[in-house]
Amino acid sequence: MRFSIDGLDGAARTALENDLFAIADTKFVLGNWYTRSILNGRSLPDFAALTAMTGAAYGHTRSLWQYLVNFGHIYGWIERGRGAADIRSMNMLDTPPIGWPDFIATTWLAEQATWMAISGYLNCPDRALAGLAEKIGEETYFHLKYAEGWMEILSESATDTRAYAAALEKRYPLALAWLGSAPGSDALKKAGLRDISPAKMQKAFAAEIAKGTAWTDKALSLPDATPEIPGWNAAMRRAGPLPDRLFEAIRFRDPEAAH
Amino acid sequence: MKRKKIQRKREIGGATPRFYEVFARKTSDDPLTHVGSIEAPNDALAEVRAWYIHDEHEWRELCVVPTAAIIAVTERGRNVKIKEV
Amino acid sequence: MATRMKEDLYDEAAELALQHRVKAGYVIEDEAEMTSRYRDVVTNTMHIAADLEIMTLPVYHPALLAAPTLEDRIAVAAAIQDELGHAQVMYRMLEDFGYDTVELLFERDPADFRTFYMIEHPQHDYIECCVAMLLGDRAGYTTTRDLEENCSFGPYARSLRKVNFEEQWHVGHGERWVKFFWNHSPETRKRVQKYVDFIFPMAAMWFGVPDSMKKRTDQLAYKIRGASNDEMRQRWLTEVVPYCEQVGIDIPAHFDKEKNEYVLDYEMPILLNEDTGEWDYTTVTWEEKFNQWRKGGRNKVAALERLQGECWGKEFW
Repeated sequence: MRFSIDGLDGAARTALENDLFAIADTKFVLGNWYTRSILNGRSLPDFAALTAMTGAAYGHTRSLWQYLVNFGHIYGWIERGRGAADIRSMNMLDTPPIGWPDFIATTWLAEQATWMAISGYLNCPDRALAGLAEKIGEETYFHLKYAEGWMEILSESATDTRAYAAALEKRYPLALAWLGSAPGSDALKKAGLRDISPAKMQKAFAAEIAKGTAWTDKALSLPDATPEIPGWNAAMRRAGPLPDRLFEAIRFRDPEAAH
Repeated sequence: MKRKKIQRKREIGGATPRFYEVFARKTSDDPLTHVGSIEAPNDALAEVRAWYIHDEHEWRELCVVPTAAIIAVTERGRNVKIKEV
Repeated sequence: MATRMKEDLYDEAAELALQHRVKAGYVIEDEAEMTSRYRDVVTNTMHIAADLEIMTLPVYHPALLAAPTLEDRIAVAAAIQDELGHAQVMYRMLEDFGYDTVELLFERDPADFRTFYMIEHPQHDYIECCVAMLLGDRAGYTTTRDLEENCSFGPYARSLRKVNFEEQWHVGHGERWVKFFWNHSPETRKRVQKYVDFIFPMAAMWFGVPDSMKKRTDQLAYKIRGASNDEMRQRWLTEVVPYCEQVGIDIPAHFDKEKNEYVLDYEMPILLNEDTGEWDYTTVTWEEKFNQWRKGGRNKVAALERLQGECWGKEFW
C-alpha cells in the first residue's frame, strides 16, 4: 500500500509533523552556526570545510522543509513567513559559542542529536522520507568526523580540554531534553513510521557522547535523565521563543529579491 | 575581535604542515589518479578536508595517503615527491 | 618580485635557452628544471592567483548572510567552497616552493596581500554576487582558461582543470540569475544595473594595462600564459557584451565595426570615487590609476583582518 500522510491517524500525523519541524529548524540554525564560523576558521582547508558544512546543513533544512509542504504548509511561509516564536530549533543552539572548543562541542552534539532523531526514519514506509534520512546520514558522517578531528587537536591542550568539557556540561542537558521529549512518540512507533523510541534514542545518544568524550579524561557530570526545562512547550520541543539576536541573525532579508 | 594564533604543532602537524595526497576516480573504468594534496594534523581531518576540497565530481572512489608514506622512485631527491597527472 | 640586483645574477644564456624550449612546447614538471627568472615569474604569478582566490571569501561572505532564500544561500556557499578549493590548490603549490601558508594567511600584514582592485570590494547582497559572477568570475575564468591551455609549468596548468570546471559553473550561474533578476521586478532590475555600473570597469581592468604599456613581458616569454592583456580583455568583451546586449543591460562597451573588435566606450584609465561608488569617466593618467590601486579598495584591509581574527559570543551574531 502506498504511503500517504493523509492516511495517517491524527496523532501520528501531528507527531511526525512536529518531529520533522524540530529537526528541520535545528538544522537551519545549525547552518547559521556554520555560516558565522567560516571566518573564524583556522586553516585554509577549514575555511572550505566550514563552508561545505554550511551548505550541507542548509541542504538538509531545505529537504525537510520541502517535505513539510506535504502537511499543507506553503513553502514560502515555512522559509520566510515565521517569526521568532514559530521557529522550533533546539534551545541548545540559542546562545552563540564563546570560543572554538564551545563551537566544536555544540555542533558535534547538534549533529549527533539530529542524526539520532532522523535515523529513526531510515526504514520508514515512506521511501521519500527514508531516502532523505539516508542522504542526511551520508553527509553527517563528515560533519562528525570534522568534530572528531578537532577533538584530537583540542585534547593536546589542557586549557582547550577544560573549555570543551565546560561547554559539554552546559550544552548536553539541552540536547538530551530535546531528544527525550519527542511528542506523541508512541504514535510514531505504532504507525510504523519510526522504529526507535525517544527513550532508546536518548540512551544511544548518551552512549555516543560518553564514547566520544572519553578523551577529556574528566568525570563529566552529565545528567542521565531528561532534565526539566522551565517553560517547556512539548509541541515546539523548546522553551520560549528564539532570542531576538538569534532570530535577527538567521532570518531571511531582502524580500525584494525573494523568489 | 582577537587575533588568531595558529599553534603549528597541534593544528598543522609541526613547524611545517603534515600533508596528505588525494587520489580519486570517477568511474570503475578510470584509473585511480592523484588529484591534489591537503594539509591536516591527523587522519580524521585529512579525510574530511579532502572530501570537501575535492568535491568537483561525485567520485566512485576517493582516498588519502600521508605524503610521508610515499616513497619517491623517479622523483627521488626532488622537491615534490608526487605530481598530479 | 625580482629586484634590480637579482637581474644581474640571472644567467641570460640559460634564460634565453629555456624561453626557446618552452615556446617549442616543452613542459616543465619540476623546480629543478627552472632557471632563476622562470622560477621568479611563475611563483609571482601563482602568488597573485592564490591571494586573489582567498580574497573571495571575505568578499562573498556578506552575500551569503544576505541571500534572500535558502536555495540562494546554498548557491553562494557552494561558490565560496569552490573558490576556497582553488585557493587551496594555489597555496599548496606555493608550499612546494618554500612558502609558508600559515604565515601568508594568518601572519602577513593585510596590506601586503597581492589582490586586484575588483576583489577588494564586498558583495553586499545576492544580486551583487550574481553580477560579480557574470562579469568578475568571467574575467578570472578568461585568465585561468588561458593558463590551463598554455602554461609551461605542468603542475600549475593541470591544477586549473578543477578550477576551470568550477568557474564555468559560476559564470553560468551568474548569467542565469542576472537575467532572472533583470526581469523579476523594476526594483531588482535597477539593482542589477547599479552593480553592473560599479563593477564593469573594474572587471575590464582585471586584465591589466594595455599591451602598448606593458614593459615586462616575462609571462609571455616564458609561456606562463598564452594571450596578452589586450587579447584576454577582447575575449572577455566578446563574451560579456553580446550577453548584456541580449538581456538589455547597459554597459560602456560595444562592437566597433570599423576596427572589427569590441571596444570600451571610454579611454582607460578612469577613477572610482570610493565615497560615492561611482566612476568618473574622464581619462586620467596611469600614475593616478596606479595610486588608486596601491591604496586598494576600502574593504581590503578590514576584510583580511577579519580572516586573521576570531569573533565569538556577542560578536558571533
